[in-house]
Amino acid sequence: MSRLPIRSLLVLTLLLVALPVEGQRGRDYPEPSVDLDLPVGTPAPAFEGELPDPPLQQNRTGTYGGTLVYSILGEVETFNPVEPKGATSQELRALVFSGLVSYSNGHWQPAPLLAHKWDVSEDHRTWTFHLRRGVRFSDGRPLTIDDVEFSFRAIFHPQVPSSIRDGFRDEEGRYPTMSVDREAQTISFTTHDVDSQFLTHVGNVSIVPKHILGDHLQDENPTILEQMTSAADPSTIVGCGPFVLKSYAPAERVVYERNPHYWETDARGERLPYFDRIVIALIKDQNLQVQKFLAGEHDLLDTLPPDRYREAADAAKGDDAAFEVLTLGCSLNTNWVAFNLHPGTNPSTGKPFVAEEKQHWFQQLDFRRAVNHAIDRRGIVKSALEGRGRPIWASITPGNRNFYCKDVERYPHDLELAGKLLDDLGWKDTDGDGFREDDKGRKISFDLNTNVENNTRLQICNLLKNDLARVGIEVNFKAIDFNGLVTRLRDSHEWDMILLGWGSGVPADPSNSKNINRTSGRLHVWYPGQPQPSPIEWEREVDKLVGRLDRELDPAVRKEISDQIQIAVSRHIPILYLVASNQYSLGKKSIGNLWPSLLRPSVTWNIQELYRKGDPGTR
Amino acid sequence: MNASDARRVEPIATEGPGLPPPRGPWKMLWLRLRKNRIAMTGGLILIFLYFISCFAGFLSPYDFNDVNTDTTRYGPMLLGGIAVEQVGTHLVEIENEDYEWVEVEKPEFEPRWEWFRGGLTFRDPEGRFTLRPHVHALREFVSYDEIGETTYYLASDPEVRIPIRFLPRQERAVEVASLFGFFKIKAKRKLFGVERPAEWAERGDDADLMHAEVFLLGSDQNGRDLMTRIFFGGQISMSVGLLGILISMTIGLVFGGVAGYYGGLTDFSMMRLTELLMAIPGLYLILTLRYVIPTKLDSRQTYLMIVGILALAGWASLGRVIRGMVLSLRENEYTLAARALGAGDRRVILRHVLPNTASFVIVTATLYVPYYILGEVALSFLGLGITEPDTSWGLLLKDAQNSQVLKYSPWLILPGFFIFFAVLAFNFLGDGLRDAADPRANLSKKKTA
Repeated sequence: MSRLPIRSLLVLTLLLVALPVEGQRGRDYPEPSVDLDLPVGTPAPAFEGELPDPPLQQNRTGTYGGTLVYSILGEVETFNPVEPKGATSQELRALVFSGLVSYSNGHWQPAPLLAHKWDVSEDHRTWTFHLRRGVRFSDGRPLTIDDVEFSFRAIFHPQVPSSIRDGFRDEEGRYPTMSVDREAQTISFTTHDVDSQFLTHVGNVSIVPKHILGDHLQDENPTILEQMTSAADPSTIVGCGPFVLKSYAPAERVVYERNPHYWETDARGERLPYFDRIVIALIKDQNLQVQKFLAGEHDLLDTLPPDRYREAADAAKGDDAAFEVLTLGCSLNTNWVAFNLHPGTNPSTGKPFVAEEKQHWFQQLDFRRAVNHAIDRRGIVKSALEGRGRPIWASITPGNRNFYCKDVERYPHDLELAGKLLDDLGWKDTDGDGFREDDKGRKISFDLNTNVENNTRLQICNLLKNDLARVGIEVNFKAIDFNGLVTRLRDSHEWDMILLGWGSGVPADPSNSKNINRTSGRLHVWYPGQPQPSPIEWEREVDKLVGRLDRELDPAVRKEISDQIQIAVSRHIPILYLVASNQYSLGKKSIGNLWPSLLRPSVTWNIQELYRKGDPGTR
Repeated sequence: MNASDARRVEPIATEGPGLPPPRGPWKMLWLRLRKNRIAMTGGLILIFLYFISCFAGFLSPYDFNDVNTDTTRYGPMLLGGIAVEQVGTHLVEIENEDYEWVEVEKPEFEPRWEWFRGGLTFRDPEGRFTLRPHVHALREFVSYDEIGETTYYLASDPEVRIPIRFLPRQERAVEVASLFGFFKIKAKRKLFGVERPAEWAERGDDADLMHAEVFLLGSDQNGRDLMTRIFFGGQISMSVGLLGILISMTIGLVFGGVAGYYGGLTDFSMMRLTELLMAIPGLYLILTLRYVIPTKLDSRQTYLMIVGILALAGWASLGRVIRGMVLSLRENEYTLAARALGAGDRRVILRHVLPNTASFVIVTATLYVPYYILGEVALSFLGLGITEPDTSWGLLLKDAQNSQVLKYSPWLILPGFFIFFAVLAFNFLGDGLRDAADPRANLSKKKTA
C-alpha cells in the first residue's frame, strides 16, 4: 500500500468531451442468403400429399432434420386458437395453425399465407381473400373455403368471448359482414368504415378444421372453447401450420413434430419446415431462461434482458463460442410515469380519487413540465439500464422504423429550469425542510407506485425520487404487486403517480396502441372512463386524430397523423415517457436462416425456415 | 485457603469466613458462559454488529440513499481498485445532439481489478507518504464493443488522490445514532468522508467525468455506498429478531403457563386455539397485511408491524411446548408445597412454575432470533418486506441474485456475510447459553466438552 501505484491510463483525451445523448436505433438484419448447394437431407417424418395451387415459395434454402430447442416464459393456458389466452398460448398458436394472412417480422409487412392474394374495393371497405387450393390439414383432409368461413363464424359468434373479435369492431360497435363464394374459393368482408388495420385482424384468425369442430359451434352455448384445451389429447388437435403437437407436459415442455402435409416450399421447391421436431421448455423465471441458454441447453433465446447483456456478450466472444448475441437495437417497449389526472370522485365514498391539493398540482402543466425537466433520463440509462438504452420522449421509440417521430417536445434534464418553473408557480420551500410548499402552504408530497416484481422499475423509481427531491418535491415511493397496481389503475383510480411500461404489439402500428391515447381506451391511464366527447380540448383533438388514423390507408399520411398525436401528447405530458432499453436475442451459430427482428417473437417468427447447419444426423 | 478444603472441614457451612459468597443462578450462568470461548466469540460479534447498526449514521460516510448515477458498481476501496485499459476502437453509429445518426470512432475499454492498488492509499496528492488515508479519484469511461453496445466503467485515476477528512462538517444535521431507526440523535458530524477538491473546477469538461467518493466496501448499481447501506440495513435486520422473539415469547409464556397449569377445559380450548393459529399460512397473512397497511407509513414502520403480527402468529408452537413443560412442573413437590402453603395461582405460576422454564426460554429465544433474521432476509428478497429505497441485509442481497452481478460485481454479496455471521453468532451464543443453563451439566464436564 505504501508503494506508489504507477499504471498507464490510456487515451483520456478521447473522453474529454461531455457525453452526448447516445443510443442505438433499430438494427436491420439482412434477409438470410440462399445457398442452392446445401445438402437437402431427409425429412423424418416424410412429407405426404401434393402441393397446393398456387404454391407458396420462400426464398430460402436449408437442410432437413434435427430438433430445435428453445424456451418460453410462462405456461400454456390453452391450445385453442379461437381464443388464445395469454402471451404463451398466442405465440405457440402459430406453430400449429395458419391464418389467411401472415406478418413478416423481417420485412415489417403483411405477407400472403393461406390466401394467395387479396383485393380491396375502390372505397376501401370490401376485402376479398382468394384461398389457395389444395392445402391440407395435418390429418390429410383438404382445407376449403368452408373451413375458413367456419373459423370466422366462430370468431364472430356472439356467445364466444373472443378478444380477436374486438379488433374487428369499429367505433360504433359494428362488425364487418361476410360472404363466401364457394366456386371461386373466396371470402369477402365488407366493413362499415375504412379500417387501416383490417389485414392484421384477419391475420389474427386461425383457420380451424370444420370437419372436427363443426358440431361445437351451436347457436346457443357453443362448446368450441372447450375443445383443444391444454388437457386435450395432442392427436386431436388438427391444424394447418408447419408443426403438429406431439406431447405436452405442464410446466415442463411442449414437443412439436413436422406437419407432413405442410405446404410452404423453399427456393429449391423442397417443402418446409426443415426441423423434424421442436422442443419448447416452459420456464417461469427469466434468469433461469438465460442460465439454461448459457449452459448450452437451448438453441435460441428470444429476449435477453439488458442487465444480462455483459455476461452473454463475454461468453459469446471469440471464434469458438457456440452462440452469438443478436442486437436488435432500441426496443419498442417503453417505460413511463403518469400522473393521475382523474378529476372525478369515488361514487361509493364520495371522496375525490385524487386529493384536492394533489389535483391542484398535477393539473398544472408547468408542474408536469418541471417534473419532466427534473428527471435525469441519461442517469437512468446509465445506471438502471447499464448504458444499454436511451431516453425517449414519446410512446413510439426510435426502434420503430416506420413511425418514430423526432419532432416531439423534449424536456432535457435542467434542474435550474425545473426550479424556476416551480418558483413561478409560487411554490417555494417556506419552512426550510428542503421540500417546497404550494401557494396554499401545503407541502408538495405524493406517492409513486410501481410493481415490486420488476427490479429495473424499482431502480428507476428510486432515481426519480432522488431527482425530484433535488427540485424540492417529495416522492414517497412504494412498490406493490402487479395485480394490486392494475386494480388501482383500472378500478379504484386511487393513485398519484405510477411507473409502468408499454409493450409493443405486432405489427408495431400506432393504431394498435389506440387504447392508450383514445380517451375511451382501456389503457388511457391518466384519466380513464372520460365522458364522451372528452371535456378536455386537446384530448378531443387526439381522439379525432386516432379515429383518422384508423381510417387512413396512405402510409405517408398515417405517419403524419401519428406524429401529430405524439406531439400533442408530448406537449401536454399527462404521461412522461422515460427510457427504452436495447433489445437482444441469443442464437446458436449452428442455426441457419436466422432473421432476427425487433418484433416479437424476435427469432422464432420464421421457425419453419430455420435449420441446423452441418450434418443434422449427428444430433 | 481454598473452597474444597473448607468444604471438607465443615461440609454443612454455606456461608462464613473464607467461603466464596453464594452464587445466584444468573451469576452461575455467566461464570459458565464465560468459560465457553465459542459462545463468547459469538457474543462479541453480536456486540459489534449491534454497535455498527446503532451508530450507522456516524460511522458511515453517506446517507443510506445517496443515489449517484455517475458512480455505479465500483469495487471495495478497502481491498483495491479498478483500472481500465483501452483494447481497441470501433466505428459505431450513434445519434448526436442534433438527433442525426453519425458514424464515430469510439474506444473499447476493459476493466481490471487490482488488489490493494488504486483504492485506499497513504500517499498524499504529491506522492509523499502520510498517515492520513487517501482515496483515488474515480473517472468515468464509456466503452463501445464491436456491435456498438455501450458499457460504463468507473476506474480509479492513479495520479489523483483525495484526502479522507475526519469528522467533516455536514450541511444539515444528520442521524448519528439511533436505536434501530427509532429515537434518532442528530448532529452535524460524521466520522469520515471526502470532499470534491475545489481545484477540479479548473479542469473544465474533464472534471465532469471525475468523482471524489469513498466506497470502502464498494458501491451498488445506484451508485450508493455499500458500507453505508449495510450499516443502516443492520438497524432492520438485527432488530427484527429481538422484537419478534420478545413478542412471541411473552405471549407463549403466558398462554402456555395458564393452559398447562389449569389443564382441563381451559387447556383444551386454549390448545385448540393455538392449533387454529398454526394452521394459518404465514405468506397469505403478509400479502393480506400488505393491502391493509396504509401506504402513508414508511416501509420501516410497515415492516415492524408485519414482524409484530408474524410474531403474534408464530408464538403458538412456543406456547405448546411451554404448556407441556408446565404440565409436568405443576406436579413437582415444590409446586405442591407452594400450593399447600396457600400460595395463589398467580404466585405459583409466576414464582415457581415459569422460572423453571427459564433455560428453555433463554435457549429458544437465542436460537429463534436467527429464524427471524432469516425470515426478514427471505421476505425482503421476495419483495414483501423492506423495499427500496430503504435498506436491510435481505434487500441488499436481492441485488446480487443474478449471475451477472456475481461475476462482475462480486462485492454485492457482502451483506450475505453479515447475515451469515449474525446467524452463526446467535447460534453459538444460544448453544453456549443452553450448556450454561443446564443444571445437570457440571463445570468440570463443560471443560472437556
